[in-house]
Amino acid sequence: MNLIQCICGLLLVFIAVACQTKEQNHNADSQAVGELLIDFNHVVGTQELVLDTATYANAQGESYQVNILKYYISNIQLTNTKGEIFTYPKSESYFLISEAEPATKKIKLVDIPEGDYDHFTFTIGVDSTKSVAGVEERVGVLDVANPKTMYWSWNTGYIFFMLEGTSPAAPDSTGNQMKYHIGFFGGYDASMPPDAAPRINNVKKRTLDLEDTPLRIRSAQPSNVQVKVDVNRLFTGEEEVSIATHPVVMTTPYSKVIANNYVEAFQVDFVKNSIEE
Amino acid sequence: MTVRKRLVTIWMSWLGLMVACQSVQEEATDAQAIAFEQPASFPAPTYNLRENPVSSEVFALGRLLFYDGILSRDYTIACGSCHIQGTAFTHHFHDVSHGIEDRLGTRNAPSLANMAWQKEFFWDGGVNNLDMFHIVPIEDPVEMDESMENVLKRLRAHPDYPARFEAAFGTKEINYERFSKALSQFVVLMVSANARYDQYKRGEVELNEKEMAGLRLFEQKCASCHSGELFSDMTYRNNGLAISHHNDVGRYRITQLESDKYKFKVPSLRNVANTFPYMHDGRFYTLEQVLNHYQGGVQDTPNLDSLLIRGDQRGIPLTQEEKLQLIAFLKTLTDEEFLRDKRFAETGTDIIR
Repeated sequence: MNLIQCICGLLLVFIAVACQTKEQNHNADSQAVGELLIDFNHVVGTQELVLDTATYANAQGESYQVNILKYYISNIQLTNTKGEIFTYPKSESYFLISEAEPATKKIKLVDIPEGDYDHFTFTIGVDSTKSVAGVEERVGVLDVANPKTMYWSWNTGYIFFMLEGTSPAAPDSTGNQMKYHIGFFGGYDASMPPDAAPRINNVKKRTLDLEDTPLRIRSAQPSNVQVKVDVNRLFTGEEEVSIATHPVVMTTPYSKVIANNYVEAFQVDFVKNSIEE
Repeated sequence: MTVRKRLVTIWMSWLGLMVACQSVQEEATDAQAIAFEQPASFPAPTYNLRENPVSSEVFALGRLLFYDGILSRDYTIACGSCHIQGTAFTHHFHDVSHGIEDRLGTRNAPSLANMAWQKEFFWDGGVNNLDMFHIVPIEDPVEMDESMENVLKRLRAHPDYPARFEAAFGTKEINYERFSKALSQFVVLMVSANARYDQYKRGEVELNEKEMAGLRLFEQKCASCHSGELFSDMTYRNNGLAISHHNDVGRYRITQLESDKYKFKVPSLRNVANTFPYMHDGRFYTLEQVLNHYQGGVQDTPNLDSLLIRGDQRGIPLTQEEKLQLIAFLKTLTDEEFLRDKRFAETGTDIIR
């Protein structure tokens, strides 16, 4: 190898390294990111939800106990004060929250661009695209072989929201059970004519207003939003739901009433932008 | 080395070479046999084989799973228990099948021929993807009554299956995706397109006069629903069966639409002479009974298909002779090669080497 070849080679290596470094810096500059922790706190009115032992009453005066509260949260988006929308990577954006498993009630989102966000949007349930996705896309809390996954196998689709318990208002003959399993993504029908009646779609998008205290996402420390989910809201809203009349709701059209009600159960409790607050 | 010894050595080497060649040739034949065969007369398949590339190892794993009772809670029920090859993978003589502990279902086990072209599965079309099908009979309390999680645990702990999954997918990992793709691949390759009817269409054989008369009748009176080379338009229709004691509401169970009450999927008629009993609940044991229903038994139930209503009459007018001609034609849909294809048989040659 002669001297010129050697110098050229070294020069090339140098240029390559220099370019790479520059690119890395560029990324770091424009993409300063932070973390967001989301807590889901389950309550009944003003009381904290306690499974199996505590007794509550709905607006109709029907008392009940809760054994299971589980639901999917998906497709999280944040909108900043300039109106720009940040969509959390879709494949990472499926969460199954269960009252019985405290760890699931805290969601950690990473790599969120720094900024001030005043709206927080999410889906309660699993969107229709994912509901008809190939088997290779069904992983984690969407894996149908995962016993925690809420899935209707015979009518392909996930159960979005599940509340089970007992109530003296429910019939004695079924052990006073109340069961609400709400799903249906609008259906898939290869043969459906375009004018066919629409199928039940209980995929619900919820946007929470954070304008009072916008989320300040900074790389220095994680921010936190506390979401309050009031179980009693399932029984009130556009239509009052009575346990006596509807102790079990699963795949019937009445599921729409329950879904419309529980959307409102999701409220912002408060925002914490630093640990000291 | 003596000349004799040398000759023996040469002969032995030659023999070894021959054996080796033969073995290579055999493998090549097998590899050729395990392939998806697209019949020229069929549309493009619905199943996406790009996400599930055909290989003899995946196919063999699928066959092993299909015929293994390990999928059921007490190891007694396999897919092949109710889907028997000789009857085009249906459960002959059973109106509804008996699952675990002789529990009875409510619907007749349909044929598995040409699943690659099915858009939706089950009589009510509740499942829209073949890979998402396999969990259903496993978890159904009257079929296999086992959790998918437990089945995968059993397979992981099995002395043989992890190696089979490794041969098929590269690692020993066993998950639902791999499990379902192996079963899907086995079923998707079950193509039935070589009945006498197909040979007639390809100009290879002739149908007799009675069969030809039946074909013409079929085209006039049956093919609006049992259409195309798959002999189904894949829609859901109420064909006027008296409502059964189960009050099975069919497609309504899935869509919750009143307009879908008592509608069931139009089944394919391939191999129909062998797939008895007929209808979603297996209420008819012979083709004669089926044709008698269409001719004179159609009931006025909600959402009765308009094709079965003629003014104040119901059903399809058919003379006795026409029924016999139709049955003669329907028998030309029997694909003997498919019914005996060793690749799909429980005792088939094991191609994992």
